[in-house]
Amino acid sequence: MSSATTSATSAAPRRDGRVGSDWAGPALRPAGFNAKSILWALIVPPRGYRTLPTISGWVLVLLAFSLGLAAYNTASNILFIALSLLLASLIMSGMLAWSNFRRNRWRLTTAPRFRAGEPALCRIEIVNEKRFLPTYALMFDVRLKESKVETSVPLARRLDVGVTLELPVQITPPRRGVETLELVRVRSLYPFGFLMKILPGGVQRPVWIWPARVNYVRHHPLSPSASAEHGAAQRAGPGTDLLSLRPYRPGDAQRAIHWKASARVQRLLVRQFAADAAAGFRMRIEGQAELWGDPEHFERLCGLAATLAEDLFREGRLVAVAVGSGLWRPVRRLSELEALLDEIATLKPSPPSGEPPAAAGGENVLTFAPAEGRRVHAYVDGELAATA
Amino acid sequence: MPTSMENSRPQLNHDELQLSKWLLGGVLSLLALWTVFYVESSSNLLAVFASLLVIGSMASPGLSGRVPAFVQAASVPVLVIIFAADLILGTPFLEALIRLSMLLLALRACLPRTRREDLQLVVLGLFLVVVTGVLTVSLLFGVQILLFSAAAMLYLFVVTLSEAARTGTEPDSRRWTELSILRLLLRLRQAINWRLGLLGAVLLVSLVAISAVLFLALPRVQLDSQLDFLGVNRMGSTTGFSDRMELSTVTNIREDQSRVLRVEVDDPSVLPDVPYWRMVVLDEYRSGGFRESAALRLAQQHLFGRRGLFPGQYDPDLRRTEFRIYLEEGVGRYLPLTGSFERLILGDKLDVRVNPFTLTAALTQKPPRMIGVRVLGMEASGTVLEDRSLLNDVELGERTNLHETTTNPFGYSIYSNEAPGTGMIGTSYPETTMDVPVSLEDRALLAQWVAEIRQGRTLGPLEFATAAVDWLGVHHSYSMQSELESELPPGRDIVVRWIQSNGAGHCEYFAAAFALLARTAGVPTRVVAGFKGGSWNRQDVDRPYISVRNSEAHAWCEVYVGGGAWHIVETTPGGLSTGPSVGGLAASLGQDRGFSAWLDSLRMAWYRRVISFNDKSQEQLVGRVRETAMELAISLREQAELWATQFRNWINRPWDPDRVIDLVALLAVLGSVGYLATYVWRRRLWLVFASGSRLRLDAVRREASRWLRRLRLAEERHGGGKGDGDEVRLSLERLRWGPPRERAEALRELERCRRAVRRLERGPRA
Repeated sequence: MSSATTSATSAAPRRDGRVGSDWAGPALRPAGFNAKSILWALIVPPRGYRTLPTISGWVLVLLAFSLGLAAYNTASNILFIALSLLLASLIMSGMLAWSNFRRNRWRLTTAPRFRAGEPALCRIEIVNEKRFLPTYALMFDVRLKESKVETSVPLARRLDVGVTLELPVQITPPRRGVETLELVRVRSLYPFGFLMKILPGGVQRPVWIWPARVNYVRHHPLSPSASAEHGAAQRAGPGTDLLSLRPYRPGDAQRAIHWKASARVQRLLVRQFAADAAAGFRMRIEGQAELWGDPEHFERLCGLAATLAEDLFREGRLVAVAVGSGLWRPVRRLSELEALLDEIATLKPSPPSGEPPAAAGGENVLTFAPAEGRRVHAYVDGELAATA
Repeated sequence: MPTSMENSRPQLNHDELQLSKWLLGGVLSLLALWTVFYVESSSNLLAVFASLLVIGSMASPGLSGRVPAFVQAASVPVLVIIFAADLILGTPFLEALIRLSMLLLALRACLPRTRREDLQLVVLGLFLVVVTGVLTVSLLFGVQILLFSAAAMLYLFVVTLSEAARTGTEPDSRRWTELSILRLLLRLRQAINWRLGLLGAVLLVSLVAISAVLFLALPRVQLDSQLDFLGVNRMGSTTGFSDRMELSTVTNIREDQSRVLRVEVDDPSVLPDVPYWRMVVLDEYRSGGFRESAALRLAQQHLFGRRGLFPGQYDPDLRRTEFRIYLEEGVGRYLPLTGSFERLILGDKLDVRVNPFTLTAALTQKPPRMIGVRVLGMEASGTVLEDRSLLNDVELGERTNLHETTTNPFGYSIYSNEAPGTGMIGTSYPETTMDVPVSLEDRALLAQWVAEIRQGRTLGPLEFATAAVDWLGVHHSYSMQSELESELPPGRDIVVRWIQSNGAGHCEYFAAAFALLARTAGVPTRVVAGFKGGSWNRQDVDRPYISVRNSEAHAWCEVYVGGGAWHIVETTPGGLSTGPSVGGLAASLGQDRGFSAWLDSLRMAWYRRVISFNDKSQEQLVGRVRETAMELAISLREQAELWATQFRNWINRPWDPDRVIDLVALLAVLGSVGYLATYVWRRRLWLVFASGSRLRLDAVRREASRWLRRLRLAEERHGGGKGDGDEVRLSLERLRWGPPRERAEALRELERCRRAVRRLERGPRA
């Protein structure tokens, strides 16, 4: 998963041409920034920089046009004064908007993994690097590029000089997959609402969207009673068998303290129990296209597989997984579970091979099969274990 | 400056911003409604009502939410119906439009507003301010539009902030109406600091500066056919001079010190010591009053296309003394002229008519605002020459009976068979200037007094005028209140009665009495109403002008002296009876001083430089800028050439030890100065002399703080490890927070850190 994090960082734009920066915004001077480039930018705005009149702006333009027409036809200097003031306010609006954006930088921080159908929380961190002026009324547009889900986050409060602010962004991915979460644009109506100034957001991050959790019914092989038939797992967990003793940590329950052992070693020790469970299931996920031709059916398979994998891992009963015709790989650590979910996130129906499905191989192998009504059954060694 | 996660000042929340928006909307509406009070119309009462409504809604924002939705929805259609009814009832379109705007503005200010209504409020307010500005053309408009613009920008700014801060609040929440205005003010006091205030002031100054530049730079085109803006020229004023003079008390006018007339003259030497600004000439006497006879009125000629010109038609080759006259609104439709003239140029497209026999000019409509008139080659000698070249024979012949005649000393006579609207029949000019329509008894009295004035002498017109004025001065004193009884015996003339009474009277009594006496003596005489004198305003020393007040309204007479010439006679005791003296430079006039004079000069500057600004002014401005630039360039070049020549001469002179020493010393001084400057710059030595800030930090600590911030930013941008700048940071932190150090050592340390931070800012080379 470290490769995912790295790629997320490296995917950040590098307008400044420097490595390692995940910040964007006008505070980062583009390479070759000088007076000439500023003048040129006034004529040909940089890519993504746009200024659009709002309804108020159009009204102002119309007013200015009408006043100009009246002023020229009547030669009335009063009208010329009003026209000058209108145009001056338009110019000042542009100048203030420019100064509002100036020397701000922002970045998008987020967990690299979302879950489909559940709101994901990210943050936009914004810093005002100006020396005198606060920043007001920015609007950040964030979207998931592939699924075209977009949300807007306003800077609802004043951002004083030198202040860093974190804006929470809530976005709900509609489906699993790998998406690009991007800060599409930053826009503002500041100061008078005549013009909508738009700057490119300049921040992108790839995110893995795990399948949505599905509701399923467990049958005997996966039920808690079945797990009791087996011994305790050899790792810590909420079981009843003593696994080992460990030093006391704040927050440990007092009843867990092993007083005798503590008295012996002159420091507090608490009991650590072995996790229950243990059937040690191995899960094989096969998405042959001939079985899972219906996309909705296939999505349900992914959802059930991911949900079961998470639940069994939490219960300490997931030993290994195999996706498609791949080899078995152990799932002992959280990172291994995440890798599995990442894989499920991008899982696609495998093309028909003409060969029979691979043999489950060994005991306690959890496999999946389509059922009527777009339902999905999970089997343990051929016995129905769960239905979604 | 380290970053923090919190703002240093409190910030208004959404509800407080909403209340601010509401109050600012009210202020904006009041500013717009305020402008209506300066327009002479019958809408003032409505403006008061609307203002009270707005003030009430500002004081109780909660009331706006209690207006039922159907009332809100029906209000605009109802107002439009009222507008239509207003028009049907005969109200002029513009006035009806102003009323509608006021009502809509009040409505918008009193009812809940979304962004669309916010915009409507601003547009309606702007409309009112601009329309009233076009109507009044006063200096106050400048103040009003500036205040309105500032308030509108602040309002729109708050609207933008309020919308941005709306996140998380209920869209239709009216919780803000429960906030206390006093509490809001206290919060504002906390949220606004001097820096924000300064920024606001800078923005306002910038707005004015940019507007001024745009105003001067917007290309002006003189169109041949100018249009009225919403027909504002059709709105009339209600006061001023008229073509009648009834004898009455003049206390009100005398106490009115408002300025009605301002005159600039190119060459003050053409002015007499006391100028007489002739507005209207009254020739016909009837029933105790003077009026302009129908015959004389019919002799008026349109000046358009003849001697009346618009600024675009100005003939630059015509170089004559130029009078620039600015006439306030309400004075009436008569223009103040001192005598015959060559060109009359109007600043606005107004229809003007000139009477060639009296040399008076009148607009066909009362101007609703201040107007500017330029008169070229105008005489101010005290003698008014009839200018029959102005006559348009064809036009006059169709409307009047102009006959050459020998029955009067003028050689002509104009008959009017009917005077429209007066019911008078059979007047003829200039016979009206000799007519004394009084009873036989009164005529006998007049003849008796004329004989008394003549004392058996044969007097010419001016001699008689002098004697008559002296005689009147002996028998009557000047007073603004007449002591004449209100009820006259039947058949008696009021003027004759006044002469007989030996009572006091004002200028109109004296002028009327003189006219009757002179006419009885056979001297054609007419009464003139206008202004006498004025006072110099020299606040702008380059362009002094004469300002004339309402209290200087006056009446006098003109007597015919032959050859088509009429001579001014000052009939009121205390003045020169034979009128003004030529070349007096208006020296008898007083000087305006003090704040009032300064304010008036501002007003004059407003008219001269702003209202009268046109394409010619723009060309002149461009020419002046070009000339100044050229002069500057030439002067610099000449100065450079002079220095070069001096240097060459100095080099070419024979060298001796003294000169060599001089040269070496000069080079040494220049080198030392250059070295010192470089040294000071590189080592930031001015910090040694820099004073502490309000935080009582010395300059080095402030600099260290600044470089700490740059260091942090550099590290953040480059994503560098913390170790890269640790040493520099420690040094800077020691400088910033550590114990006081010897100044020179601290500066050396700061310089080292500065270089290191710069290096870090440049980052790793790609």
